[in-house]
Amino acid sequence: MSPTPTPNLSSPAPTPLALRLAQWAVAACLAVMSLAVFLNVVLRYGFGSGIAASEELSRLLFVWMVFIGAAAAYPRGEHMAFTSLVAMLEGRPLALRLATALIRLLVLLAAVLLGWGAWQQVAVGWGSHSAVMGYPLALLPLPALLCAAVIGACALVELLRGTPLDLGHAADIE
Amino acid sequence: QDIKPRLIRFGYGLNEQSNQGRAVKFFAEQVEKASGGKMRVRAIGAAALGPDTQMQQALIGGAQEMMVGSTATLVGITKEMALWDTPFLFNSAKEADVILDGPIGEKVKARLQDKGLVGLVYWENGFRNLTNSKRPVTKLEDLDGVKLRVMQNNVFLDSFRSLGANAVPMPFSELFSALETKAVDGQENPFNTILSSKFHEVQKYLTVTNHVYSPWIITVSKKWWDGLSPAEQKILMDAARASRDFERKDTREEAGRALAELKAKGMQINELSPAEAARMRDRLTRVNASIGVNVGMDLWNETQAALTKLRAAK
Amino acid sequence: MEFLGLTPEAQAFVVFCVGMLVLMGIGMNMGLALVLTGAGMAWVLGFWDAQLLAQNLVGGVDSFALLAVPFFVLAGELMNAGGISRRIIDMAQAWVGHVRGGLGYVAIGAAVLMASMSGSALADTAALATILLPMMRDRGYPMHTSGGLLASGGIIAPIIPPSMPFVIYGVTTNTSISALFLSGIVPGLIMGAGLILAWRWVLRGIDLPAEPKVPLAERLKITGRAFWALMMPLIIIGGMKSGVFTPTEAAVVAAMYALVVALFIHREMRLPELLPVLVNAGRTTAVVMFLCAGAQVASYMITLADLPGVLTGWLGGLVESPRLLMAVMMIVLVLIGTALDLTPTILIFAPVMLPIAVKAGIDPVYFGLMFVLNGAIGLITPPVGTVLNVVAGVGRMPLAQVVRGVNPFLLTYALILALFVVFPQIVTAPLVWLR
Ligand code: NA
Ligand code: NA
Repeated sequence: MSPTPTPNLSSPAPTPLALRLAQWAVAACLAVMSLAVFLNVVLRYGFGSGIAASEELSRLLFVWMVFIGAAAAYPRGEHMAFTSLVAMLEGRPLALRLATALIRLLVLLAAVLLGWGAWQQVAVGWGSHSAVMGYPLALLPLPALLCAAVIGACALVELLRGTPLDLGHAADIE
Repeated sequence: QDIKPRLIRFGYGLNEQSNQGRAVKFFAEQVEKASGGKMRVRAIGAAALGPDTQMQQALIGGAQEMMVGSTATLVGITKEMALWDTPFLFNSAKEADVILDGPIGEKVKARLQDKGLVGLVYWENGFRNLTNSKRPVTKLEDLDGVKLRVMQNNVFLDSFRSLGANAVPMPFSELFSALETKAVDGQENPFNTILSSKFHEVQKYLTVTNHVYSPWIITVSKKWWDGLSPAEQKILMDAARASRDFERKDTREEAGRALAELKAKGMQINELSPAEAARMRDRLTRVNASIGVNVGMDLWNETQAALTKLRAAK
Repeated sequence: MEFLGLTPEAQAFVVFCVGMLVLMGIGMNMGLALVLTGAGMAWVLGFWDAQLLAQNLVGGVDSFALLAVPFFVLAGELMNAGGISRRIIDMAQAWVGHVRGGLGYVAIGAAVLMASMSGSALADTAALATILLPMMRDRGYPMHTSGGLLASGGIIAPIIPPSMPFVIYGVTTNTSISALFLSGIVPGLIMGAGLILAWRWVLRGIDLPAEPKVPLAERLKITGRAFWALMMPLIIIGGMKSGVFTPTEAAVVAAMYALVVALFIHREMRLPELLPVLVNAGRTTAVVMFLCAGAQVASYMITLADLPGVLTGWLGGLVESPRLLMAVMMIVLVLIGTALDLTPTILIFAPVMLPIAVKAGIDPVYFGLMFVLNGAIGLITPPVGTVLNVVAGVGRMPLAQVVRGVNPFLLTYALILALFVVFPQIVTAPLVWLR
């Protein structure tokens, strides 16, 4: 029941090119979101009007930005995790290896469940359209599907290769 | 036996104490009574199952069984639903009942089937009315320059721009503070919503415009519905019809109470004269024409004909 | 489903606790741990469908109000890249640098000012520590205390508006973000005042060199240079209060303002440098928002299982006395805060705790302030204190040293927290006036 491993995006360790593309996409989403929301403030305050699409467009881009960013963050170990306990196993290689494998299996499980659910919602969403811009609602679960596919593929590769766990990363912002 | 034990997850947007919540509770009781307790409705309000659009997708995908919500949010799924967004379509609740429960309402509902939804009955959200903090709106020209929040929906945006207001799209969640700080001057909603959202605290003038009638609709996941026995389907349909009558009566009583309370709380209330309503309707010819094109001219003409006949019969 | 004679709701509660403790405990990605916990709860509740997981994952970030998060991150990045933070610190130094232990007061003053422009404790702490720690080391300040002070100053950022944790809290619990923002102003200033007293007390008996006094003309000149930076809080709070924009829009205006100042007024940034800033802001946001997404999956199931209702039943009599309930919840949050960061604490526990507080008649905005304040203090409590890590990283000093130095300030904050529990009016009274 493998949910659509998309060929180009699910490469296990994104090459610098894939990562660069993801970064550009993230930056572009953020830039357009900012402009859309800012323009609406200017229009409302200055001219008593507004663009109906501004909110819908910025929300859609936000969803894409988050899931592209989250997919790119996974192979680099940038996601938030509470590693203090597992770090205590560092002196006991076998236990650490087992814990690492367990984490990856669980990540894989979560990715498969999410990917499967997102796949069904993408299929359902082509027939429905957003209120203002009229884009197909499938565009909302689609980035989640791609993100689940990337994370799942990465976790699988890490599991098979026995890549050591990255213990150094915690939250980036609060 | 034709009736199996079933758990029905029924989502809605308002809270338990609202007219919507009361009617959902009534529906749940009817279903349980008629099925001898085998079919149980788990009613979940306050949008805890997500906003309307999210629940609709869950219904289509078969992850949730039932919901009630605004017809306006179904326009993206079935374009014919936009018919109900037409400004000044109905002159009275009576007209709305006849058209919605008659062949035209059935025809629009039936279009949901291709998209994975089954529409059971229409409930009433209510006629929408205008409030603002600038001046009483007695004639068309009074709308000039009023910064008016409208739903993020092209029909409403176009309509109020055609009427001369500065229509500003804004999510409902930000509306109260926008009215409070005068980021916008006015808004439009049914009496019940105006009262429950405490808009009277930040708005002085209320004009009874009845400019658009907003229905709600009960929908069922088609994936799930098709697996039900005819007896089970009948139980749901009967309960839905009973709930419709209950809901409309309850909502209309509440709207009357809400209007009185808004007045008691100091809102200055005036009614829009039929002559001014007619002038507004004339201004909206272009908007109506585009709705006609969107929902299909056949449906549009049929609706207009039915309304003309209805009004002549009086 | 019958299991150990428990109702499905009680089973869901067990799944929730086990999911949180085990999945997070073994170090799984928190967002995905929340997804799996949500999946388990859906299973025992009879709500299982993979589509619900995906839908809520997306629904958790499909929110206009949450857009404030990337915009405030962007504004913060632009402030640091465009020399705004630097000018604020220079100004603080010109005015109070010559007092005994002056660099400490500089740090506190700059922390409060920067808090009124940025919403991130980590970004503020990094900016403060990068500039001030080396200076404090040169002048012979005790490093552990200095590091502790900078960490403590950094967590004022999420209390004084703008604040990303308030945005996330507001979205998670349906509380007015504007009201939360305004509620943080006075407590944030009290935190600053508390730090001043604590710093004085810590410094007693230590001989520190004073900085040369800056002549008045020079002080005014340096203040003038910080003019454009100082306009930022006025624009954010003034604009929001007067209704020109919503909190989300305030965030984007702040970012645009910081960009214009950086590019055309300070001229410390060129347009091509905008790309890395955008990439950075987008990446950090994505990581936090992925957590929000996962939390929505779990909180959907928390609502279905009515966990707050179940817990309210257990707490019984506590609901009758709001102050006692508040005190108990604050202690629980302090314990949670030792191990969990602010954002996950909000996402996981706010939807469970707020309904209980509301049932006891506690004002939701006051509760939000207390919740975020407590969670922010968790950022400087060991063993997991992200802001402590930043200071240790920037200052190249062992974490244990910063932990030792932060203690007096931690005690100060604990007293402030207790003060607010006993006298909620300190928080609520100014709020009435500010609204
Ligand atoms: Na702040
Ligand atoms: Na901590």
